[in-house]
Amino acid sequence: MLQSEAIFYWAAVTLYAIAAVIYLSALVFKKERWLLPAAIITAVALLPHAAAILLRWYTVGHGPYASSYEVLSSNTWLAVALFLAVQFKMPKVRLIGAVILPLSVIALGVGFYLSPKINYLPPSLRGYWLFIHIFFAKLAYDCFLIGIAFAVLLLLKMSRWGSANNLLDKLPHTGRLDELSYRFSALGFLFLAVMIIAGSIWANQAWGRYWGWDMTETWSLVTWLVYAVYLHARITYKWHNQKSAWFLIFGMVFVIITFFVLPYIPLENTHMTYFRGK
Amino acid sequence: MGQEPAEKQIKKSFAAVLYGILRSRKLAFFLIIALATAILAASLIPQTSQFATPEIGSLRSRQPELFSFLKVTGLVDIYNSWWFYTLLALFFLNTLVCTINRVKYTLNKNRKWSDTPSKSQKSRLCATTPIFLKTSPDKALDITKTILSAKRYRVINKSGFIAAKKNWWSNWSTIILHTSFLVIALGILIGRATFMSGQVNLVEGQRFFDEPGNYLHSEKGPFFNENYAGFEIILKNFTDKFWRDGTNKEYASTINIYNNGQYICTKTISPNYPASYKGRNIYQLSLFGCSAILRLDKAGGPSKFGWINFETPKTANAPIENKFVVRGTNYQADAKFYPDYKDRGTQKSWNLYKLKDPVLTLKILDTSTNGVYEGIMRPGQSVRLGDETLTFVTARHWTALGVTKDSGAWIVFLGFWMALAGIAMLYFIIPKQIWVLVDEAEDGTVLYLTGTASKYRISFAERLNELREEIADALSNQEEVIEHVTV
Repeated sequence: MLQSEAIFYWAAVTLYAIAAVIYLSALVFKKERWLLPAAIITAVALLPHAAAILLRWYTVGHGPYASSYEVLSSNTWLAVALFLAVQFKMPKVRLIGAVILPLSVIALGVGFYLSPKINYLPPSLRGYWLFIHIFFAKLAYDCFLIGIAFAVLLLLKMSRWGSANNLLDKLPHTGRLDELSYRFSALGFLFLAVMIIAGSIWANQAWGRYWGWDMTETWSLVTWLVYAVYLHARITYKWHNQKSAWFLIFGMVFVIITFFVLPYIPLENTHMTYFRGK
Repeated sequence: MGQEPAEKQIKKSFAAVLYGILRSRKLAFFLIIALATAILAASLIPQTSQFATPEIGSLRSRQPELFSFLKVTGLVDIYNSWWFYTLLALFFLNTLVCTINRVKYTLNKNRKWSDTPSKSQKSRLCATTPIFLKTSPDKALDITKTILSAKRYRVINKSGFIAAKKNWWSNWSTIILHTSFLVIALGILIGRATFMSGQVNLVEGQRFFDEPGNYLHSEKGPFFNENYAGFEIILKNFTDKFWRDGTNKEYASTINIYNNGQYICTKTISPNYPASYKGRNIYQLSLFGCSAILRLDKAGGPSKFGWINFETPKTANAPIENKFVVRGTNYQADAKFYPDYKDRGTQKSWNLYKLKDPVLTLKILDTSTNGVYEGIMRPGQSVRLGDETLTFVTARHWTALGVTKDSGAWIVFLGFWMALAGIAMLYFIIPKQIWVLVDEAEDGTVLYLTGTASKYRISFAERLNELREEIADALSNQEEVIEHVTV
């Protein structure tokens, strides 16, 4: 890791951590006026974070997808940017930062702990379909994260603790939160489909087969099916509010396993490179 | 004869029941869960049809009872088990019946303009508070119609009310999405039935004929036409470059393609950039290295040529070695290959893989594993083995190429694009319908606005309220709005 990159990276992490503390404090101490400063700090943190990502990109000559550090850093950047866009459009839901920011800080810490070293990309991991595949993977997981944040707020709002919290009370009503989490999950579902399809087209170009049943491929499909069950259940069984929110949290388990656990399982897996650089 | 109608009745009701089950969304729900669970199980339990041969062997020897249970239930080969095929067939039928059913429903829905909300729509209506106006009903409807048209609603104006709809074509989304699954399934079936794939290892200058026996690890579908395309490939050259840590930076093969001995073209293939000829795709695989060309001479007999391929290791400085039997003799050899001997023993270096000053170190054993020869050989050098002479002629690059044919792939990709279009329409282009009713009231007109959307009805209700405000504002510019009342 370059020194300048490290400075930008840690500046961003520090600012995110401060914002996370403010968001959580606002939630616990019911201080609505703390939310705007937290959002501003978050927006400021995006800049050094972007600088760190771009410096890395320039240094290694490829996009941020060849080690856990690069993957988690860029995913977090996109998640935070998406969160800021959402709260800019709907200031009433600014409180989702209390879910997004702590998770972002954890992700950045884990990414740095796992491997900040530079990995070179083998030639098969190039090409624009791969770029589309990776970009939509990031978008899909970040949309699921935003969906989960709405689901968590919904559950908090409907809990006994939440009913006594006037800050949660100021959030849009539960039906609206439920709909927002539904909308973002549907968006994630679409992006996950694009990711799977782009990966499939890329695999066909690289090896002459569009599906190989490797672990990550399989679990991505299963994650997609889990979200298909969620979307179907909303129509068929009218799952809304709490039931729907709990199911989304269950779905996130599959995302986490696919993303964090599988690259470390010592089985045949063509996706090891993106996380372990092997 | 008298019992026939009753039998027919029973048969009919059975068909109706079956149809009812197959068109059920609950069945679809169950099947998605079952398929997801089966796929998960296949990724967690070692499968005989995949790369898990050592794990299968270990399971068989350590826990034979568990292994036989898994085998009987098909859990060690899930993707080829009868119950997985049954699930797939049911999913296919369920999707097909739901799609057919949906086509009828959508055609009906799109053909008719419902002047009033249907029974199901009534349960999902988002109503706004009425607006009381000091204007004529016709004027109110005209203004409302203009506003709705500007918002790209298709509007019909009948006496006393307006019916408007938007994104109605998106009602086809479910059909497109479901049809995409059928198209993907069709593509997979065609592909699996008629595919062929094979691997070819070629040394620079070597010629390959597209014939069944010439492929390594070839596979083909049951309906693959046995008449191979019959073209020829010559590997003209192979180039590779490495990063400092020994990772491949780039590698590519230049091949000449011939047909019936006639030169057709020269193509360079590299990862992600295959070549196509006669319906076959030719891929650069990530297996390559150096090949030692050897010659065996026997006094009074013909010379025999052969080559030993040494695969370039995936990690820097791993030994490049191979074992081989000297054909036609009783000798076997342990060989190590140094593409650039000068670099031997120095720091880890990517130069190790550059074919510059090749050297072969050989340890030749006879049938009793007694050492016959041990030493290094450079190109042109020979070693005497009894009455035979083994010569290291030269060294060249070799590489593995993949040749595949999959006629179903484009159908699968078509299905993929349809699926994307279906999902995007289903969740992001939402059909909406609005009804506006005007009624004469004392001193003016009362306007009722209601509507429904197939999804995100809370957002739709908010938009509907905005629309109500817009209509009220527009009409207040024309005529005075008496009051907005809350119902």
